[in-house]
Amino acid sequence: MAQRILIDPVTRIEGHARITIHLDDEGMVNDARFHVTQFRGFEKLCEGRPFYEMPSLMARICGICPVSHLIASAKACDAILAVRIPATAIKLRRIMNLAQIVQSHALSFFYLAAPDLLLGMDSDPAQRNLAGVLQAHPQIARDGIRLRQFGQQIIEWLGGKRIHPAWVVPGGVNQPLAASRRDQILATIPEAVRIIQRVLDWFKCSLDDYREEIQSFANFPSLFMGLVNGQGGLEFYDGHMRIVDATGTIVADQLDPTRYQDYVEEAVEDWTYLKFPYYKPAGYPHGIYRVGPLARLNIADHCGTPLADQEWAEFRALQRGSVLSSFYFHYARLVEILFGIERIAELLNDPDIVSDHVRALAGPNNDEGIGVSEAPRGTLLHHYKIDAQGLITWANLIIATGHNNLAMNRGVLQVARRFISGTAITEGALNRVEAVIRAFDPCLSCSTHAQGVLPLHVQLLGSDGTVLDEVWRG
Amino acid sequence: MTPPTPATLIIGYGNPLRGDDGVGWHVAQHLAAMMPATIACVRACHQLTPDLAESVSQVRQVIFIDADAQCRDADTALPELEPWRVRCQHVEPDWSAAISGCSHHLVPAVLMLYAAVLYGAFPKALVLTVTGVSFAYTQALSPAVEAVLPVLVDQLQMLVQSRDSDMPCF
Repeated sequence: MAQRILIDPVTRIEGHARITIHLDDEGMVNDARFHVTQFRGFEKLCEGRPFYEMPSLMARICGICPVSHLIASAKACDAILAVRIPATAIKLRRIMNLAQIVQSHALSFFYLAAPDLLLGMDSDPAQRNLAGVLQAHPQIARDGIRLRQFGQQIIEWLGGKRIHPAWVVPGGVNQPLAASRRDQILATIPEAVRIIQRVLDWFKCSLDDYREEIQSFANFPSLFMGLVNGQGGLEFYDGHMRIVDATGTIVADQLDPTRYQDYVEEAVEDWTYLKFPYYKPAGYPHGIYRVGPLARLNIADHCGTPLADQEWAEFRALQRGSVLSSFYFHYARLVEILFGIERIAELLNDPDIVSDHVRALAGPNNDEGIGVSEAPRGTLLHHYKIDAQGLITWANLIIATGHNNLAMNRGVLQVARRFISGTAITEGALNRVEAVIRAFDPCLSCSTHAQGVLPLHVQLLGSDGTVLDEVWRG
Repeated sequence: MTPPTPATLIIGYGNPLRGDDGVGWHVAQHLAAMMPATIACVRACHQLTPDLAESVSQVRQVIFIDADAQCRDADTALPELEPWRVRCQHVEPDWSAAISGCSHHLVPAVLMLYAAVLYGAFPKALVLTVTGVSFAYTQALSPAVEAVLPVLVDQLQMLVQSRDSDMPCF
């Protein structure tokens, strides 16, 4: 009899989701789906608001990556103003964006993924949490806390507060950087570099422990998409779009990010609120692509800072062509943290960074604006239209997690087929189904993620809806 | 030269956009403006976060100030709920709270635990809660909680600046 396994909610991710796994009559996994069960509606609720409110309004989408929305939104508003913002403002925005990359990646790796990585996928769920990490690996816990603090502190020093700073505005930023503050940030760089190098050394040495997960965690050919700079290097703020395939071949390059509608289209399914963007020329669902840390390291020709370049070369040597296993998202996050720290130091050492000229003032000169940047989880697009009064009439957001939706669904199916059969549901199998999603670090919203006593509910249902088996955790 | 770490850390936390939930944040803002940095380090934040653990481990005493949605009257003689009532409790590191906790909601006992396990020390600690009346979407405190604010600030100042810092419940 056909059966269905339900995992609801998925834990240690940002937001609300559930997973269903469909078994055939022989108890083999037939299909699996990752359902996003929350609806935010930001595109509608901003209609009628003045466009210059958008950065602050859109930052409220998330408490983890508000800076990403702030920056993409401000860039869309720059386009509405039709101004070239001052060079110093661009550098300051870049610093804040990189600080956000560092803190968000640290959160994902140390707070959400570390319990699986350090304590084991099959470990007791009562221990497999932050408290367990604290007890078993205090040095790594200290490192994680310090790295997140490093990023958050820079955001606070620049923008006045860690969450939802209002410093990035249409036309630039609203305050220049004081030299004393610059020196304060620079003083924290050496320790942050030491920490991330220590963590990278440990993680690279431990990769053999995750051989099974590397093989089965969304490990399949797909396209990879993201921004690169003019030299083909790692880029988080500007640049052009590049798409590479599984062999590492560039499929499309020099794409204008503001013409995203030429090459990205969104499909809709009736069982989830998250849309399915795909690469338009390849069609749906063949145009599956991945974004985020793994994709960025796959599409770039180099990082662009000395230490991160060494790590990037080692990372790319994992596989000929593109690195395909989504388990390596974790590894890529660590490389990007190192890059972020190094690049922040480079930007701060530019004498121009303390210039007072940080904002271009103008009224609306265009009735449409598109802003694109790289968020921790991938490429982020904000697209607005305004009326003659400067009020928003239409908005479209494509958020990084959405780009990965096809890949996450396929990843869940791959893991379920590898680890689940209809005869038994083991704790380790359940956790791996969730852990493949955690590898993508989806940001479904800034919502709760329980740990410790996990509110996990798994049901085996017969084709007539009868509950055949049930597992509660928590 | 780095100034010496003061003996007392005061952490007032809560969401100032949700009425009385922000009372701890408001108290900390007031104290920060009037408390000499040599006497106490005052932090106003929206919520407790793990990175506070290191600072907690470095002081002799820490005072947490928070709002409470319920009037917990176990240690009071007054049977009826008095919204402005302030309750204080000593707190120790607690593993059970850490295991059952949520990463979006860190409690003082877990922060103390982080300080102890990660940084090798934890101070004496007091949690001071103010029972709120309204947690609606507003930046204003309710009149009842607003009225208790200056008294609370005064008492905390006296408590911290007094030589006897055994932090009795008041």
